[in-house]
Amino acid sequence: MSVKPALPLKERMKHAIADETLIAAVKKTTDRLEGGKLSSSEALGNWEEWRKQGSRIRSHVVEHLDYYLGQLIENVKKRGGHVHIADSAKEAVDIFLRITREKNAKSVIKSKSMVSEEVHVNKALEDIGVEVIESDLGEYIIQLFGEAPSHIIVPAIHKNRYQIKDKFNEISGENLTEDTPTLTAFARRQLRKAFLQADIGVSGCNFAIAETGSIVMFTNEGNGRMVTTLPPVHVAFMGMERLIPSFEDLETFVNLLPRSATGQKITTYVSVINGARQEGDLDGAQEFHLIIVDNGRSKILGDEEFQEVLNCIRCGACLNVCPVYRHIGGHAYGDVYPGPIGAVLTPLLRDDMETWGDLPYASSLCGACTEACPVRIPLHDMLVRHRARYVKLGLAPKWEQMAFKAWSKTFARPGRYKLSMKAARLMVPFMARDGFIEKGPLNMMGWTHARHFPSPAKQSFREQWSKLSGELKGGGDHE
Amino acid sequence: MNKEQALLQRIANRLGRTEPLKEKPKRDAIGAPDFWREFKLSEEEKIQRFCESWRALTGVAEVVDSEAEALEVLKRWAQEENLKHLIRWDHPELENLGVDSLFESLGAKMEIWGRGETRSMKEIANDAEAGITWADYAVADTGTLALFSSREKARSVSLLPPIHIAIFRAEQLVTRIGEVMVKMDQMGREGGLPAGVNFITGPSRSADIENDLSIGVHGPKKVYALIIK
Repeated sequence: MSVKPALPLKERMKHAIADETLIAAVKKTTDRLEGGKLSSSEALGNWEEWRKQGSRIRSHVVEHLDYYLGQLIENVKKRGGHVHIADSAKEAVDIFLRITREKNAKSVIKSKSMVSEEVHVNKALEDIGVEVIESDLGEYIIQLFGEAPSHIIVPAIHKNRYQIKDKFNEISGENLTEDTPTLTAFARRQLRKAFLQADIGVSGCNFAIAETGSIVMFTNEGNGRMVTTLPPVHVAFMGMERLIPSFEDLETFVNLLPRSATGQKITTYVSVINGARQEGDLDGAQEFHLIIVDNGRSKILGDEEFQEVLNCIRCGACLNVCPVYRHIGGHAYGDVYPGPIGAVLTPLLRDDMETWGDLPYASSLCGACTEACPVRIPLHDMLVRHRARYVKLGLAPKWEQMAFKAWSKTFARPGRYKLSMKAARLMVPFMARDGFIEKGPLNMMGWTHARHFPSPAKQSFREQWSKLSGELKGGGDHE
Repeated sequence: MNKEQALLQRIANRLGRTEPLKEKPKRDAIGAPDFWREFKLSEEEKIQRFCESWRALTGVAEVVDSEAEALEVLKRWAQEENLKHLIRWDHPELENLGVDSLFESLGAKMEIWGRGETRSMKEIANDAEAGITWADYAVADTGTLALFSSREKARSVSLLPPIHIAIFRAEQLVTRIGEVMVKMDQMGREGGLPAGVNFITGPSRSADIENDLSIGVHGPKKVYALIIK
């Protein structure tokens, strides 16, 4: 599906940087999550061993995805579940709309699912007049504002309590105060009715267990349990790679994911759904549908440079440590997945380097994301690989191509190099002050409008060296 | 070729195979890291660790030596919370413990999931002030309850009322969550997995509004655990 962001990356970033509330909220949240992660992973101990184990299990699954996915499909069906394959976002939506029509559903209640965000289910439902309600507190809030999530784990971090209070009062005509318990209680009251009345409950799937045909959700609020327990039909959206072989393997991810995401030892609820309710059961969905979504994922398989990105368990840890994400927040990334993982994943899933190929430039390449990743995906290497492809495809700006060509020509020859350095030093007195260039020419402006650039030394290293080596040769008496 | 086969074929091709793999692939990384599997606590340590972890999340935990003492604790909780309307699992352990007559003597109404009224059980659970369950397992390391669903052991009872009270015996405690996971694999192989397994660690929580922790968003606001030795 060719989806294009409304504005180019640089414009999106400018918008984000101008939003003081957003910057403060993102900083506070990422600090809290990162701090929690560090202390809880330290308390667990042997964090590197856990990461290695997580990475090995995930890599094994991705390398044998045909086997495990086949096994999962077979076992979901054995339990009476319905399996649907969606090659694209459009197909995923069409499948869901078909289920909605077959069930004559009037209202759909959702718990958080990144994949359903990825394929844009809500808009399609609204278009056919079906009420769709997000039940995760953060998602509920941003749905009322008509906005998109800005963080994988905490979708409404860019909204403050006063904005939330005003919105709640606006929709209900009540006169609520802005304290958290009041706001939370309001959402609880509003949504409880919706849980009990909805025709279809939609959930995501943190992991699917191939051997048993189960889906597993890690949640905190209880809405994930509500949407799978109360409505008569449960539809789960799953990215086709989100598998692990058996429950035994789940122990590793129960320890890795919540710590990496929020710093919790474990989420409040780890819910395992083994298909629809069984004979005699008086609650739980009567019908279970699993929509397995490809939407660009299979193209990543077999791509040596990027296959490992499919190991991702969507914890958001890379966002919290990324200096770029921390400055611009999630919306500037322009698509569903923000931060370093988004910068790697979006161009691949969208399979459109022309539109999304600039995202990998929204990174300082400091490697903090790779360090934070609980399944050891080499994110910053992937960002570099993306940039290389971008340049090879001829998508880098013309001036940049020319500049780098000139740069490589100059630096390949000692004579030209020396000459250029001399020329640069000749320019210094016109631009530098106190050893720093505060306003650079041409493309250097991108750097110097936010930081100072150190001016070249008065004497080059080579010049100093020839002087020094002369002294060394001539004056052994210093020894 | 249907869509499922086509997807598996596409994946196989991308992975350099001519057709989808049918043989279970060999692997050496299974489950938790080796050192973690050796982690074992004694029963006394398990009780202590469970209570610490449960209380760290605002849960109330008490340990008693006998059924009679258990009823005393339940009575105290019921009075503190002023419970008048409850629902419980239709579980023989709860029956034998005598919780029904206890709450009756306190003037509270006790409903039993799946019995009695024709009105929807979900509505009854939604109206109840507290739900009582008998945990299948409890995990000491994280302070987690494991509840397996069935006709008598409804998911709604631990979910819809604002208070959840779980009772279990000390011998149902395991050290790590992986011990329950292995049992679930076993149940899966024997065809005995229930429709829903819920691991519950503390009350419902959220930090979606300005990072401010709030309790009881959709699930229970208060959680009680009663361990009988």
